[in-house]
Amino acid sequence: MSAAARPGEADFALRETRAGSGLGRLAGVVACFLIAAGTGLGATWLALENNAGLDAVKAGPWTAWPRNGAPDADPYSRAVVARSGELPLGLGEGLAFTATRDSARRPLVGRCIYRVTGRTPQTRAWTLTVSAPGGRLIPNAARRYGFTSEEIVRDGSGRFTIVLSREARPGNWLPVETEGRVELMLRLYDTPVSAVAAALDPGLLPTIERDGCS
Amino acid sequence: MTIGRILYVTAAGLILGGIVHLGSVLAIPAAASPNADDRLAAYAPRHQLTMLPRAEPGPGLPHRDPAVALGVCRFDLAAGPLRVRASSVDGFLSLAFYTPTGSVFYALTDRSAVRGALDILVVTQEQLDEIVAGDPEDEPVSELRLLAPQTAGFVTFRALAGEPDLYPEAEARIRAARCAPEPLSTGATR
Repeated sequence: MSAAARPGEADFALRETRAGSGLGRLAGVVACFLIAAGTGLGATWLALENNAGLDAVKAGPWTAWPRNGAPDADPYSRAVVARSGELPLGLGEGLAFTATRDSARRPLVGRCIYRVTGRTPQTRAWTLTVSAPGGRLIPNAARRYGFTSEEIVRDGSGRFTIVLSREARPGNWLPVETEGRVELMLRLYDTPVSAVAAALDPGLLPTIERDGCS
Repeated sequence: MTIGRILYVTAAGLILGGIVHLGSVLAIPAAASPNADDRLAAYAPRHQLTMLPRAEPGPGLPHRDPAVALGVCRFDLAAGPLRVRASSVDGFLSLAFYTPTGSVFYALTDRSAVRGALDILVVTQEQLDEIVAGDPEDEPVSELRLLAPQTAGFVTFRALAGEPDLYPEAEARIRAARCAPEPLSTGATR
């Protein structure tokens, strides 16, 4: 008798466990999926927000993505370009560098004054543009958003200084009428640098020094 | 739930999260809607070289260079090969050829001009085969034949204005360019 009852009891106990583990398993699967969605999509969002292209070339405060827009660009660069809707420069046209921080790695903000000083690598022409993060121009009364190599005033040794500030400055003054974060873009047109960008000397690019904040 | 099970579920979730992350990054260029070509459709009809408005604060394409005039010509090679011609007068002028999702498959500047002109024919593989079959044997090909990875796409024309006052001249350099489909027969008998 007891021998017959024991399997029944065991069977009952087993069914209990199965039902319990069924619920537990469901909770586990749901938790697993939530963690997967949260971390996976979160990581994607973070990567795109921070422009985490894999073939970035860094030189001082400047970063370029020479393969940006190329069909063989890494998946991160391609996703960033697809999401922003920008038309990246082809490698045969030129190379674009962006800076969101100064040479001391502090974020660029509109309420500070910056001096962009130095020279550029060999290039037929270049432009330097200031914009809000994401590449939108910031309105200003002078309607000046950047400088080109043709209009810049240089010193005797060929170096230039561009001052970013709210108040007008003598020389190459780039007005910035915002309090928030800004980014700089240096575009080199028709430059041999494109081919050797991976080994770029930071000394060839201008420095960005902070010169007081309001 | 035991600690072991919580760790197991978390580890499985993180591994799956890695797969979700990679999958979503890979899927974005194809899934992005609207893609670059769709966005340009709001400004530019197909097979017509169109000047985009000057870069100003406000809506429009992000990361425009305010010193560069930008013209766009959207194409569909189903209508025949695309003939693109531009002359290199003074000043920077560059052409970039994009797939609909905004990847550049070829780019060049006026420095590549032959006798002061850029002459490019964008073709599909079938069109290229047909053109090559009709090529006269004793004449060198003077045009650049560009194989497009997809039948649709667009070409951008960038002209640098050294000073803000020179912007209209930069636009004029782009307006002087040509971008139109060309019937295969004329392409083959050239």
